[in-house]
Amino acid sequence: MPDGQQEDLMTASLEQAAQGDAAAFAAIVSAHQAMVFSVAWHYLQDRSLAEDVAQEVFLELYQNLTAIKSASHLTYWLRRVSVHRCIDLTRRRTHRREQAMDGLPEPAAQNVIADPVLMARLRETLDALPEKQRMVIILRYQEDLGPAEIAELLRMPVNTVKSTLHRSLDDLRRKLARKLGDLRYAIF
Amino acid sequence: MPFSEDDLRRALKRKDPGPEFTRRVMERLKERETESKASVREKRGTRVFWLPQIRFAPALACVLALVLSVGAWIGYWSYRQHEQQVRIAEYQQKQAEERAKREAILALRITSEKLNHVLRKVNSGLPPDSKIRRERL
Repeated sequence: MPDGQQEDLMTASLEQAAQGDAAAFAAIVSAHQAMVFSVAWHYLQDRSLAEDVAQEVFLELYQNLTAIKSASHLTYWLRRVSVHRCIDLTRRRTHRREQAMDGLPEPAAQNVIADPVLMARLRETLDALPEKQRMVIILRYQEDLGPAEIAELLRMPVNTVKSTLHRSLDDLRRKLARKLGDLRYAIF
Repeated sequence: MPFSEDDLRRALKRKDPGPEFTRRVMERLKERETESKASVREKRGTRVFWLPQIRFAPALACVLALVLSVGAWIGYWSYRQHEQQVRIAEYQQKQAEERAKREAILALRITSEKLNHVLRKVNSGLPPDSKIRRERL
């Protein structure tokens, strides 16, 4: 389906949902759940917490449906609220890692054909980065946003976003090299 | 082992929380709506118990205004009654004073007449040079 048509459909769903149509709201959730959940999952590295945050974001959306004007506004709103809920959560609690919830399926990644060891190490290393750096990397490489869009979402100057991104990639490379070095020693 | 930006994109690929996620969100939404309806009902119930509802406010205001105006009228009427009683008492006192004054003057006049009469009697029995002059009395 072309992007324009999809946007029109989403705007129509928004109008219907704002008038109390539960099915239209369910369609909105279904269309954006991967984005909202993935931001939380990659940032928190905890499936149950990520699901809680994602659900809270959609419940908040339901209360603010009348304020959302278009499909692009909806995407921007969901991204912004997800990012800030994740940051708020990590600031509120001491970061505790939990295992995946029992009985719930693991999130399904789409068509990943890559070195699974590298992918796992990358995610682990990313999790060791400071909050802001981690969120900048997630927004840049998961959501494919430019520095200006990231700056707007995180309320930071664009140059700070650029320097944070640069520093984060350096840190990632350095930490990953150290980790893989340790792994090599463990294997051989 | 170096990594490329594409590796990062692959590592951070969007993940779907599963088909049950939407159902769970809708269930939580229903729960929340039921809770909020229940709390609204509870609040309304409490309000009926100890606070007047909005629809009783005009009636309450009317009753209050009526009570205030009746009170004010009774106060004014009592004041008028008191004023009238004070005026009557003053008038009666003034009348009594006037009467006392008139009686005193009459008494003095009678006394004067009596004394004149006595003087005339005394003067008629004495020689002409030794008459007691009235003026001296």
